[in-house]
Amino acid sequence: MIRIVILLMSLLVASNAMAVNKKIEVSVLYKEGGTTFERSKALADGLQELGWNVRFVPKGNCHNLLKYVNGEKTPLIFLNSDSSITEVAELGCDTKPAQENFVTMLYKRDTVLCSTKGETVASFRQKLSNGKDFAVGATTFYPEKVITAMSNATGKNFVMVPYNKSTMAIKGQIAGDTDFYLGGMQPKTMDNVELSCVVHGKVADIDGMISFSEIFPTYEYANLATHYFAHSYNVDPAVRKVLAEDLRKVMKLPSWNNYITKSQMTSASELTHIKVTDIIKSLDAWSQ
Amino acid sequence: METLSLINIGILAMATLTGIVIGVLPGVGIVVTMLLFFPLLLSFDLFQCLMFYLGVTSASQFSGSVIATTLGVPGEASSWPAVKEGNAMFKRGKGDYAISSAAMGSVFGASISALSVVLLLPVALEIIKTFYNNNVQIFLFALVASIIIFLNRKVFQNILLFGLGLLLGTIGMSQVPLKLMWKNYIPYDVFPDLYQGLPLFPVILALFVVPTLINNWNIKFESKGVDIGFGEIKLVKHFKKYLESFWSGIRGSVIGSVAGLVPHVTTYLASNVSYLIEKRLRVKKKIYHEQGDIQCLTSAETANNSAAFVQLMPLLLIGIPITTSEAILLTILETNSFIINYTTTIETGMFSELVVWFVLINIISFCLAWPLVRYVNMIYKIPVKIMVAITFSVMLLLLGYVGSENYQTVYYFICFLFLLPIGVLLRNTETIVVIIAFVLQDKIFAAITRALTIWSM
Repeated sequence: MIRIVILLMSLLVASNAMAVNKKIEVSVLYKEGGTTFERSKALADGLQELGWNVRFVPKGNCHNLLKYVNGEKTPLIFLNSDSSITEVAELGCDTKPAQENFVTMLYKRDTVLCSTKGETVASFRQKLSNGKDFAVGATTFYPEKVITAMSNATGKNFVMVPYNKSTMAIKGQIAGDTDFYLGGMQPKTMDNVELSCVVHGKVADIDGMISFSEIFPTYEYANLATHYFAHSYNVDPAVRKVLAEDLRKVMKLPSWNNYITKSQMTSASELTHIKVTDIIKSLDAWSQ
Repeated sequence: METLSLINIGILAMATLTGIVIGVLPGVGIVVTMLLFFPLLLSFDLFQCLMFYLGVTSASQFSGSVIATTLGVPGEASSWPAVKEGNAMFKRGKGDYAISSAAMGSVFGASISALSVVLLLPVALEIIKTFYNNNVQIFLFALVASIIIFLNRKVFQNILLFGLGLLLGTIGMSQVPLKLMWKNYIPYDVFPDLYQGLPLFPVILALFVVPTLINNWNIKFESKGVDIGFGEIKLVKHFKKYLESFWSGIRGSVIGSVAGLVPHVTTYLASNVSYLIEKRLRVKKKIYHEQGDIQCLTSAETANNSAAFVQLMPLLLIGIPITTSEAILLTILETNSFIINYTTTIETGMFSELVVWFVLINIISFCLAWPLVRYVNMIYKIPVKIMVAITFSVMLLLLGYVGSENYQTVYYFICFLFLLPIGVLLRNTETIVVIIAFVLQDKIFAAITRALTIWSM
């Protein structure tokens, strides 16, 4: 009997030792005021809801964040994406993921091409065949080559008109600056009554729209999308595994699920096949 | 009303009282106030920020004119007509009529301009959308820049100041065009914070607040213990008196609604142009009262408050600030990730609610400014040097606070210390030109970049 008790006690102690310490810091690469900051905060809140002891430690910029993770050595994650990696690389920061710090895919945002209201796939085709030069408004988040590649795919002249905010690019499109607007699939483009989004980069079919690969068969960025994933520092493999599972659960929480569905993005459960190597490969498309 | 809540009523009260206080303090304008409330404003939503701003700007016009009338001190730059006409009336024992007509005119002007804008907006909305056209934006920026540069006779100096603002604004990573500016001259690798450019708070503190405080250091108030109490206030009697200036108020309201759209000089231009036109009309008719003319005063004060509302329209509709304080407001809104344009203000119905609050602000200011300003002598007993020292100390604390909120406390102080000598050197110039150029720099450069692309097609 004593032996059984000792055995049970030992098992209890061992299981406790193996239990994951659910303590994590969530940081941000950017200053307060942007979507990434807001989403990172929502990520921290979601983990907290699932019982994690979370500390939100935004660092304002990539340099501060990298200095912090190298100095403090505390377990930390942040919301990273392929487009963000290329963006901060311009500022001299390396945030490329590797197998040992990639946690999980979170969501994917596809690209969409919109015109002024009333445009249909048929009228869009007509516009393309009749026109010669096309001004495409986009934020500088998108590399210029994504738009010039449309010229190669169509034989027409597509020129990027750069904006610093998607809202301004959309307003510019409505005010007649540009022929088309290239941006991410999100409510402000898809639900905008002043715009008609006719071309999409999703692999699936969407009613009333046509895919890039169908309308520009040789367009090399037909499926360009932003892949959002959790990037970790100082997190050991066992914790990372539990963290990945919990982050996927966070994506199913009503607040997140609503954000992803409303924005017509692809959720984590459909992205489990995407690996670090795929992210690294997509960096070429996003590099400026 | 969706926006009716205890918090919003509290913000309204705070903004109105703040406006009344700053209206009587020469040198403490809206810009300094916006900086003092910077951390608090970062916790407000879009509506609350706009209401606070409207509250401060409107209420300061009321108390500014009361203090100008009673003490002959222009609390606001737009209070000069009140100094001239109101103070003259005060000296001949008609100060109470001067104040009541100016205050009633202000409420009237504010209401008329707000109502006109509400009625015109549905028709104007389609036109407003075209204001986002890049060519129109270029024209608007050119207009703002020209007015600021040619504002006074120091055109060459203003060009240099505007250039300095643009230059400081270019530091860091530019978004449009996507480019790291001055990378051969600025040690970005040594000070990586510089990638993000110079933060607004230390720039305004060093280049605008410090020169203002230096210039205020030797100001002497000459209140000489003037009794500014008027005993019982008889509203009906005062209202009847105001009606004598009704048409002057109408003219002031129209002039204010137009002049309020002129960048940088908005309320100042509105009150002075309105005053000069009214004076000319009355001199021509030989009915101008040399010892303080109530019609001229009413016209100027009505124009003043009309302009206080109208000046906000370019920011509300197309996101372009036309005064320095609006530029600071825009920065706060952008820091809070609020987008300001006709979609977020008009199409959401927020604007209609804002108009109701604006009229309310004016009525409350009308009720409060007069009685509260009776106690202004108490403020004027505090030595100016102490006020300046307190303001500067609070500003330094805020610099540290705002810096820490952005995780860049040291960087904020370094920027401030780096710019401080420039601020001291430029203390006798219009450094407000530098600030406006600094805030508009990225928008101007982006519009030019887009224009070059579009025009080359």
